[in-house]
Amino acid sequence: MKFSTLLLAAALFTAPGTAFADGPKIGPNGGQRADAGPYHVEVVLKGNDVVLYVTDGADKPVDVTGAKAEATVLANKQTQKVALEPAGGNALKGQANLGGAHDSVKVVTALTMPGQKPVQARFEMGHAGH
Amino acid sequence: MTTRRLLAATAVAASLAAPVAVPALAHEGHAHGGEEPRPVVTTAAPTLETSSSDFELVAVAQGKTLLVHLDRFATNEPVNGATVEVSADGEAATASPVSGEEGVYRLDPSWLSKPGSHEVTVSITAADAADLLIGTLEIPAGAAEAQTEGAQGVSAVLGQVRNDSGLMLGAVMVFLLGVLTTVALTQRGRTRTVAGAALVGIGLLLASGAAFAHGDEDHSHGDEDKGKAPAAAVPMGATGASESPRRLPDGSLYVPKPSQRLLSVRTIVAKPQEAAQTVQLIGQIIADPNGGGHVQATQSGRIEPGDKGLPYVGQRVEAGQILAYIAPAVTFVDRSGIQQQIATVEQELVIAESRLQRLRKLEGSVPQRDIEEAEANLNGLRKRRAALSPALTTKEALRAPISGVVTANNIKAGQVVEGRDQVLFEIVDPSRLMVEAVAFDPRVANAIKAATAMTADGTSLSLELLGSSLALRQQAIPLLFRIGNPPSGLGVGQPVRLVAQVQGTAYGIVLPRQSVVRNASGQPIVWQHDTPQRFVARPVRTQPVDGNTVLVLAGVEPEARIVTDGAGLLNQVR
Repeated sequence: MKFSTLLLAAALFTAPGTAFADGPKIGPNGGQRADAGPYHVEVVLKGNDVVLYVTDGADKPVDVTGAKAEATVLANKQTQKVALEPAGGNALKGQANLGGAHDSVKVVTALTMPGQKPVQARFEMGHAGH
Repeated sequence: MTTRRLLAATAVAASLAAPVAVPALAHEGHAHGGEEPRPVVTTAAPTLETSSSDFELVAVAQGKTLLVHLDRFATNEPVNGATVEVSADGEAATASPVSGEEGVYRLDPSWLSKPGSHEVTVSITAADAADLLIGTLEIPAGAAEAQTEGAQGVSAVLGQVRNDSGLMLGAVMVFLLGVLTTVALTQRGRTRTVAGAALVGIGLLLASGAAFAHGDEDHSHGDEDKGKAPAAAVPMGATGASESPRRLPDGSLYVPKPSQRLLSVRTIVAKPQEAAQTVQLIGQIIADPNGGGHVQATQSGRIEPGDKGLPYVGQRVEAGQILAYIAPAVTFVDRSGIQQQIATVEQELVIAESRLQRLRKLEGSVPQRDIEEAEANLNGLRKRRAALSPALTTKEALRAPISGVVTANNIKAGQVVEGRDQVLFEIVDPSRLMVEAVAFDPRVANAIKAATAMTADGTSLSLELLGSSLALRQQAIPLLFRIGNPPSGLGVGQPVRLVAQVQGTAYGIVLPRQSVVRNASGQPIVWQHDTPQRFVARPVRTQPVDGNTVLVLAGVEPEARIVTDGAGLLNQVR
């Protein structure tokens, strides 16, 4: 019950976003969202956690069981690769060493859905206000 | 029966023609499916273009080597000394800089020889910025084969046919010919006659077109040579600059990165700002009255060179320097008169001397007053003699009134000059030049605050307004400006174009003057750096700000990257 309400709220919240195809967009989880192949992906940095949410073109959550993902994170001039594991629902999660820096962090994610080719997306954190 | 045969013939001909036509259609559909309406640039090598707010990256696959061209996004400057790590298909490798090339890095990843699309992540660490870039590099299936084994067999021929409209026409004609021949051989009666007539007609057409066909063949052969020869003849450097810039059907330019480096294309990001309103005036350079001098003779005489000879035009002279002497012209009558006077004075001098000696001997018996009178008389005569004697030999020295450069020399050694009227030398101080302009509108003349001037050769001068005349000259108001830090090479009388700033401001995008070029129809345009290797012409409305910059009032979007250096060269790409 609660989840579906949340889902509805999320859908309503993101609905106007679909009209504007360009520029960084804020996803339903408060992170930046970008296009990755047929999907929309959203990255949230929380502490040292890197969470990737996957939705389809209509912003409906996609089950990521069996999917693989890798995030390349550029923080403090250091590049690190983070493997993201499915963490239930449409989220994939991994641990990075961010050193507390969330601004001017650049993230590239490569998402491989089961049986498909990898798709990439690029994020620039701290530039959401643009 | 006959219908079946006809069908069979058609089927055979169609099966021959199909591989030619169908892949072409399939190719078209594939290339345009879901693409933005940008002109499709067919590049010889698989290319990846990507950019971020800091960097712009173009990676070109050449055989087994991936060449990465890295530039600044805003300025299009090559980025040297960056660490470029390219990862794709789970394989990461660091590219090494290509020596002798600016901002070019190369690596030989193993995935490059695998056909298909590769998701590429490039990690860039430069001195002042770090970034992650992504892109997709499509390696066509044919590319690897063609590069390793060259064109081969039927598929190569079909490929050629697909690319050549002439060959395509030929294939269609062969198909028609086949159908007609089959009909002529198998049918009877009227159908056969029609088919036979058609065959004869086509035969005649082909015969008459033989000359053209031959020309075409030659032409296509030449084309083939053109396509191949430069690649072989031009030594393909490490960057492999085999592609040339070209104009796309929509009028935009495709300029590969190596060409951009050659033309040293630079850009700036357009930022709207306020600038002063300007007016344009015409003026000319004049000499400062305190920084120019004339040398004239006070009497007539003959010119004699100074110690260093006569000054020549362009020579630097110091104030007080002797430029020439004038030996006064004394007529024969004058000369004899003077000589007569000298003789008279000398005669009186002898008398006066002997008289003084006589009086001195009688000192004490003659009044002292007589002796003093005789002494005064003698001194006076000696002075007269001294004043007379050089009148025939003394020369007048002509000195430079100011330090500067000799701009005119109207005399030669030995020339006899008349006094007063004739200007012998003109000297101008090049550090104290002025610009005199005329304004026809009194309101403009009163509103001018500052100005810059451009000479015909493009030198920019900063001007300071000294004042304007109260008296009109030919219905115009003369304005006088001082040139701050005049560059060398300015000449008095040189015409200049002034851009004077008046009160009031205008809002637009300030660009360097060289950004604005003219298109084929003479319209002012700027080139916008649209994608890494594509430039789009934007017609603009401009107004000069000063000698070096213009204000774009319309035609350029804010944040667009506009070409500054190399705009003129880009404009010549056809």
